[in-house]
Amino acid sequence: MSKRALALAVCLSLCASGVARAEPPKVSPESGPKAATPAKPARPKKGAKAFPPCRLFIGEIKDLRTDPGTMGAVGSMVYVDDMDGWVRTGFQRLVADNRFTLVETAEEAEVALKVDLIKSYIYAGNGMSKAATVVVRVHYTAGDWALGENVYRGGKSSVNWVGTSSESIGSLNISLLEAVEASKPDLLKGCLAVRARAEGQGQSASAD
Amino acid sequence: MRSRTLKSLMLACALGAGAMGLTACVTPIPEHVPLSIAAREAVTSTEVVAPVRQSEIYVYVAPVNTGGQGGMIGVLIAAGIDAANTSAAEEDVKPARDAIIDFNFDEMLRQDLTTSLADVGFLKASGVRVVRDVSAANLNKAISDSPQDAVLMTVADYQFNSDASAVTVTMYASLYSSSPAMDAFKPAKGGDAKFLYAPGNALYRNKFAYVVDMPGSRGKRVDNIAAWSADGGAPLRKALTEGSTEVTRQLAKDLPLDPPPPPVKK
Repeated sequence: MSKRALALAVCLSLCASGVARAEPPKVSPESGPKAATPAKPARPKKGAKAFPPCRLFIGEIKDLRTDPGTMGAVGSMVYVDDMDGWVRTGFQRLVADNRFTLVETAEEAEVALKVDLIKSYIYAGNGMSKAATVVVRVHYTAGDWALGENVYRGGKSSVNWVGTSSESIGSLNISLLEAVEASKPDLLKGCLAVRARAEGQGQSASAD
Repeated sequence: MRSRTLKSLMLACALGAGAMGLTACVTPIPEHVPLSIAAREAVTSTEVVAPVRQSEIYVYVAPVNTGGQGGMIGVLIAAGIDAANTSAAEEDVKPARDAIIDFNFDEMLRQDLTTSLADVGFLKASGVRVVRDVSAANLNKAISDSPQDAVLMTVADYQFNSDASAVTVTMYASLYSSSPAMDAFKPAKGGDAKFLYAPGNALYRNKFAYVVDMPGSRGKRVDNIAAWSADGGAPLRKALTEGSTEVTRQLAKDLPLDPPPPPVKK
């Protein structure tokens, strides 16, 4: 009985995957994380100073991987249509956090980001598992001031049901968002540093 | 309409199950197939193709074996445990991956292959081509479209064992015909016309492995990975460098070996 159940499970997986794999998965802005609604500004606590959202600009995105065309495989290969657009959709989700807002130009921004994509892949583990990883290096600048850079890693492991496109792309999207989430503390530090400097400059100007 | 779809699905499943049953009857292809002297003498040029399947080191996670217990529920539970184990391993391996984020294993392997195979005169190898699209269609194309007489395909893997007390670098090497002249040396049995890179089509194949144990292994996986990652991942870099050099050296040493004499008939 149990052998029959196993055979049936394998069979259904194979059949379903056969149907689902007609088109290989492709990474693009359309398949990336869904756009987020900008968060409402936070109400400052009584007596606390308001923290206006930090103005961010997402600048150049470079793909530093050795193969820009693919992102590994779970059953079928995952191909790349528009890497720049895909990574951008991940960082655009920062607007869902009321501490950040996105602006159109570097001049308007308090902090500008440049992103290097270092790793982005998915693989099928032993048994019925799959694991996706995205690693980015983010460079922070404020005008001519280089605030620094850091590397962030996101990952998602889960059951590999039938190796469909949506499973693969979904895991990569979650990994990308996890890497973006990991960058938030540094982003905030950058914003605070920029504001502290502006405040300091303002005070010294008024003292003069 | 729904019943027709269901029937088609059941038919597909029945055929699938039948195919699975048949594969169990196929004679297994030996891991080591030596290159015949005649084939070696016939090669006029070889293209070395290195398909790369992984982007970073990983931890080997043994799949759960339910032993057929629990039926469908058992399968689902096993899938869940596999995913949880993989998730834990992926979390544990992060420090090692971060420590060697700039380390390009594929490029090192490519260079080692170029150096080692230069010593195997009869191959007349012309460089090493790294292939990252490892889809069946692309691997087939790598063989069918090769301008050379033969294609030597080398698939490498590098991993921690489950407790990360050791690093293993493995290389699977197979030589395929990509010209009518070399087709004569294809194995008489076990060939596969659809998948040109199938093991049964190989004129030569072997597996090479190099294992580096961590001295004074600490028992716990996270502790072992911390030790591999120390000093910018120096111990891990050393293990992978040695592994790459060693497996390519083993391949270069094995390729020219004469096949064993056929058994004498009594």
